Amino acid sequence: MIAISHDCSCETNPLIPQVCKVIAVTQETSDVKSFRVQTLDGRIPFSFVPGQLGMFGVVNHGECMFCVSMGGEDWIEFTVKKVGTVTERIHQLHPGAQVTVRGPYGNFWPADACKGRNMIFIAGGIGLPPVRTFLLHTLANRSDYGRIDLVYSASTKKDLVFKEQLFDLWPNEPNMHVHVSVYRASDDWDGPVEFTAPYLESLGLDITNTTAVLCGGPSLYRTCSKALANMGVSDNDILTTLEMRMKCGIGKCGRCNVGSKYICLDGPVFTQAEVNAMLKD
Amino acid sequence: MILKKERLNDLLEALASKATVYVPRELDGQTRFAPFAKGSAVELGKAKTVFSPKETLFPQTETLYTYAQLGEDITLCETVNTTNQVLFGVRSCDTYSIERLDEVFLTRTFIDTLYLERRNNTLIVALGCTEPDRSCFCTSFGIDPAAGTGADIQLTDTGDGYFVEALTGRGTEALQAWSPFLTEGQKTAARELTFSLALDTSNVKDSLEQLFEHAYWNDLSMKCLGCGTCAFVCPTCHCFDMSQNNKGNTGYRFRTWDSCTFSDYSMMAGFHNPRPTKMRRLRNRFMHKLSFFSDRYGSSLCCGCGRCIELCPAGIDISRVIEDTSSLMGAGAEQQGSTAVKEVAS
Repeated sequence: MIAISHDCSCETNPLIPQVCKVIAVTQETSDVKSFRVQTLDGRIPFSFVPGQLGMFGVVNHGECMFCVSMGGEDWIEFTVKKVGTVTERIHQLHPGAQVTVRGPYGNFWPADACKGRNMIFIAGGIGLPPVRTFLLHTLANRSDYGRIDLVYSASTKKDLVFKEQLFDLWPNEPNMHVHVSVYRASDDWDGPVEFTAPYLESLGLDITNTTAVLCGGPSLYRTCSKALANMGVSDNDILTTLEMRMKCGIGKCGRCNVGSKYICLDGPVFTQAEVNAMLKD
Repeated sequence: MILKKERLNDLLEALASKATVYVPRELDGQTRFAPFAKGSAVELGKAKTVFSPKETLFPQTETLYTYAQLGEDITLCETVNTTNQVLFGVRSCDTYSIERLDEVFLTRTFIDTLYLERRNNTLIVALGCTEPDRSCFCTSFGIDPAAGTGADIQLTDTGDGYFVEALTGRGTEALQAWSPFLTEGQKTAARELTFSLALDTSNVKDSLEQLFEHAYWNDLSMKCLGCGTCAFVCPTCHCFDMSQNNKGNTGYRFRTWDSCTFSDYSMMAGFHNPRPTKMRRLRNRFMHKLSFFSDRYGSSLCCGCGRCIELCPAGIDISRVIEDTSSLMGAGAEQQGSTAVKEVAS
């Protein structure tokens, strides 16, 4: 059983964001961009543990909760898919633009509890950025973890995020295996065309001493957690990060409850066993 | 000590010179806690106000910060609450509710600064009930209508006056300013109150959890209009939305009361809504009141004030939900697979 710990604190009014600036923008796909942000005096907006959340916004348009997708010494990065009002506006940001940032919120991937284990990372579409935070941690502490498998899918080849890492960097990491499928074929794709769950099952991965880390849309989550069960992975060894609409991020506004759990405080990271114990919405 | 009723207005006038004194008043035909002004009629005789005193600590709309943009540069300016206030004539159901709001806003890792500032600047004067409404059922949750837990000062009606006692250090300190208006006197024996609604709530949490998938929620939610009245009059409903109002290059970010029965309450980008039906939303509301809150904080989020019962335009009645689920459990309904909940598009 993996214990998921929690470490949130805030010394000032937790609903007041910091004004930060965008220092780099990366176009990941046609509708996904990554935004690197730091404080106006060049510091990291907040230190975070992989898996934690941050509220990222544009002052006169609002703010949304994202999993912090990456962090450096003096910056953090959010990877944002353009799907609604705020994210449309975020996508117009350019380096130098001032934005609002607050966090960190929620719990984090239980990286320490997974030491010595083999890891299967599973993601669909824009679900890769939250999973990647854990994956990058395992790569940075390579000797702490065994074999690493990444199973990643998106609708088409052009919807795959972090292509450079997927195809050029990660396949060359020692004892790491990258498996990518798409749902719809195209002329420039010669890899597997399959949904994530059947693709995952078809890989015949060894699941001894293995933790699976899962993030994707509701149908991917449903089908892949079933596939993992079929493969024999126990519910305590499946980790996922859940998503709900959030306004405050600090367990006050009431919005992100699933049963008596608040995703912003008790989550976003849960084991499959914990999810099973929740009353469904 | 006794505060004679004929000295009440003098006391309130004196208090109002030092702080905003919220008293039950009738405004636009509805009673609510509103600032006392010289000559205004104070409605201390009614069991409860239509609106709870929640809005004095957690206003319906509250600015979080203002912002200004000059070119690329953004400046934020925090809102600070410094006004002293007195809540006068708060009933036990509402002091119980303020204790619950305190738990929500002031515990569990994060402190809500704006609430904390208001709460620190607030003196609560409770008033024991003498005549419950037909929709009152606070005693069903173990609340003593004569004793407002969490209040600083307790008033008890003695007929021609109020017996005054301090419950906290802050209350004792505050009473020094009251002394010119007080006379010696003893507390009269508490009158036995008769509640037309007396419910057994001891098993309600278990019942609701076991009936989670029961068709009862379908039938109940059919008449829900999703208007949010229940949440707005509820003294413990604390859900809020956050948004902003732009005025050219300046604006402010604010929060407003919200209701989990609103259809877009949990709607996410991409139109994914984890609670897409009225059934799920209404069930979540009752579960939160009677079960989920208890999991997190160990107490009921319903205080039995009955305001939602009085005002729901569709007649949805939380006391009947408690009774209905209890009798369904008695009939062994949780065993019957055939009554499983069905989704109705709404």
